[in-house]
Amino acid sequence: MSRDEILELWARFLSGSTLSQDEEKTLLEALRGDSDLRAVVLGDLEFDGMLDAVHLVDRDQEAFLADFRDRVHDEKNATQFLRGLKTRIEQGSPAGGTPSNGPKATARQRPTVRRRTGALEEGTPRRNVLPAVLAAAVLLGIVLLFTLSSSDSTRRDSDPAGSARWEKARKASREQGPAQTSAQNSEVEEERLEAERIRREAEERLAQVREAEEKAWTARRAAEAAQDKELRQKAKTALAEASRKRMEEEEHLARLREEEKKREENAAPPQKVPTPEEKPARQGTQIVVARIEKAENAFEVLAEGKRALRSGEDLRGDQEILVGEKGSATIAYLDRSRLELGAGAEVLNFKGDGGKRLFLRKGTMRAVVVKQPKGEPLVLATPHGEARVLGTTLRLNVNLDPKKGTLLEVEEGKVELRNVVGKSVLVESGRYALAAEGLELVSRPAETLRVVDDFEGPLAWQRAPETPWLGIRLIGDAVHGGRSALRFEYRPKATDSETFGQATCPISLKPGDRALRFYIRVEKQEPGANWNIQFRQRDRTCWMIGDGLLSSLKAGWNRIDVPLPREPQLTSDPGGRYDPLQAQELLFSICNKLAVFTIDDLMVISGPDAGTSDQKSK
Amino acid sequence: MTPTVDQLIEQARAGSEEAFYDLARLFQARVRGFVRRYVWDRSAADDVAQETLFAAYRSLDRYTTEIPFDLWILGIARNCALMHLRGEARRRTHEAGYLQAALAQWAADRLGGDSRIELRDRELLALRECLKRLPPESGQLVTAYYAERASSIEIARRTGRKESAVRMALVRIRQALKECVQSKCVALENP
Repeated sequence: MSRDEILELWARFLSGSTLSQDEEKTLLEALRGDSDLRAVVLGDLEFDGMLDAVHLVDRDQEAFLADFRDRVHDEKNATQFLRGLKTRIEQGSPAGGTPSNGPKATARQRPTVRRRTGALEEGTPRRNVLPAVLAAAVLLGIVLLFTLSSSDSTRRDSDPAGSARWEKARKASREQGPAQTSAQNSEVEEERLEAERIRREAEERLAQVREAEEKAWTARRAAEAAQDKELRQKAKTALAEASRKRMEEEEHLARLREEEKKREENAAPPQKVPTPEEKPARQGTQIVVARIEKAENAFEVLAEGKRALRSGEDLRGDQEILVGEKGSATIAYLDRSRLELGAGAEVLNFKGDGGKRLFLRKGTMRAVVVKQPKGEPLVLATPHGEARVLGTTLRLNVNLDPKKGTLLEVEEGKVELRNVVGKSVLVESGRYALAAEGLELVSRPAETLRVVDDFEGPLAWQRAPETPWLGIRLIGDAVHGGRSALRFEYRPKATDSETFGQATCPISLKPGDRALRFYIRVEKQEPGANWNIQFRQRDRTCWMIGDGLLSSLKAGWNRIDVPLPREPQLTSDPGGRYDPLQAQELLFSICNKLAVFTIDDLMVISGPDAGTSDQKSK
Repeated sequence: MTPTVDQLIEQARAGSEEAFYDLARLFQARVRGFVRRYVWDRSAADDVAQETLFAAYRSLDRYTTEIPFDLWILGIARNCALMHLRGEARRRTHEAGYLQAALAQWAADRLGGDSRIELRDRELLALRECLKRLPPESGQLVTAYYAERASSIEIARRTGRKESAVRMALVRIRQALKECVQSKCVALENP
């Protein structure tokens, strides 16, 4: 797409038009790849905001100031308000009634705010009780969380005297003998551990408050949908309260960290050398949830870029992981559950305790999950739904395209897969389910294989007539399985009219077939030698299905999966419509350079794409 | 006699809520303008602006006259907007709104790297001046779109133009206004 077309898309987005998912994706990719363009659109966005502000702020300032007065009033009575709300919800009137300490705003007329995003107008009648109940329920959750949090609010702040004791111990260690120093060190070490414990508690509390803030957002959105002015005001106040608490906790944690840092800088290093596991945790900004067991070409995404992950380092809840091309990463939890991330995977929002959770934005993941505590499944969320796992082995493949969605394959055990519209299905071992836009969520049998030719019978292949020379024969000394395999030998000569050798065999495909699979073992090849597979259809058109370089294969047997493409390249005239169900012959070609290799167990794969081959064709 | 900003600050510090409301009245437009620049949802922008005023209210006793009050409060607005954008990036990612999440993150990065609060404040002032100089037709289009909140489709229907033409006209007007604001701010910085 040209820059002008991208800018046109952007103008539509800015003017409030709804972009299709593909358009949004295109725009996002263009912005990701072009920092100048990004600066332009962000500048546009800011300027649009300025223009809006200039026209907005003079007109409804009274409403804004009235809201602010309400806010101050509400915040001053926040605890009282939350208690009142809890009582009211417990009494079972989530959306109606007038609270004794209700905000003044309900009696005041404010200008209607019309949003381009299509939010609901104030003052319209209540239409739907469900969102109100949902909002109220979430608010109750927040109230309870705050109750817990406030019971914790008698914080054991880091002891200022501790720093002094630490300093004293350091001095003593210089002035006193080794025996006394050892005792002093022990005391100092205890102090250090205590400070670390307090800091960890503060981190946990912050995580709870952050979660409460997220819930408050949900409640606010639900309240907006409920059309209940009073509930909206409450949700707004609860959100403000949650944000305030979060900021307080962040400030508190920052203070603790600062003190801890100072203490470490001032004091002599303790006798105990921290284990490698402890080091990242002490630098972390969130709770450690697991460990990176293995990382190859895998990164943590940071605001300013990314950094390579190291095997053995701790994984914190706020980290975002990106696995690069040809990379992989393994995450290990304390309970020995393991997650293996494939190339291109993007994972974030990790949660460790009280039910593990993470968000797999895209890519593949294999999870080996040990039995989880009752009522606390491991939740693997994706943009298309979530898989709830109690203990099993599974594989997830998440595609950004909502029509391709999230593929769940269960190797062992049972997994519940829920899609975004709330429908769920139980997927048992040996089956798969696909949560994708427009598809019914059902459990199906996993991948099936159908043999095209395992070369155990007579040779069904023929050399194509236009091929100058190609040796094809069954051999029995190097096989992938059974007694024989098919050996190709292509030795081009300068006088050849064509630069390829081609053999054909009959093939017949069925609906649901998605790929070809074969095994290949190279004996000899010159750089540049490559293979390709084409289908010849009933109308005699030939379509390129996949190809690859022999030099990219490893020694011994390689498994190759060749997905059946949606729009393959046409390789012969006259042009026709590609339809794999019309394929009559498979053409296997060896091109350009000398190549001697063996293939075996040619099969057709039906079912889901698990992405498990050693190599896929281009 | 109308009290000065310093007097209002003193009164608010002494516990007068009314004095702080007066301060809020004086600075709300600049705070909202500043925040709205970065927070593109109008309702969320007002929440952030209120959060700013409330944070200022709570930490008024920490304010020192070493920096002007307006810059102090705009500094708080900047921090609140930053926190909102970072939170928005997290939430949108979670909801699979990747374009919005990325925009929020980039906007946060941009704001985080920009400490020229005073200049940003001036730009808003300059924009008001530039708007007055727009040709009548452009002025009407801007008023319809931003003040009356008419969509580009609605404006196209009213004026008998194509929607894409309305969008492009707005793009051109914004560009012209941007240039005008830049030239004014250069003039302000180099009087």
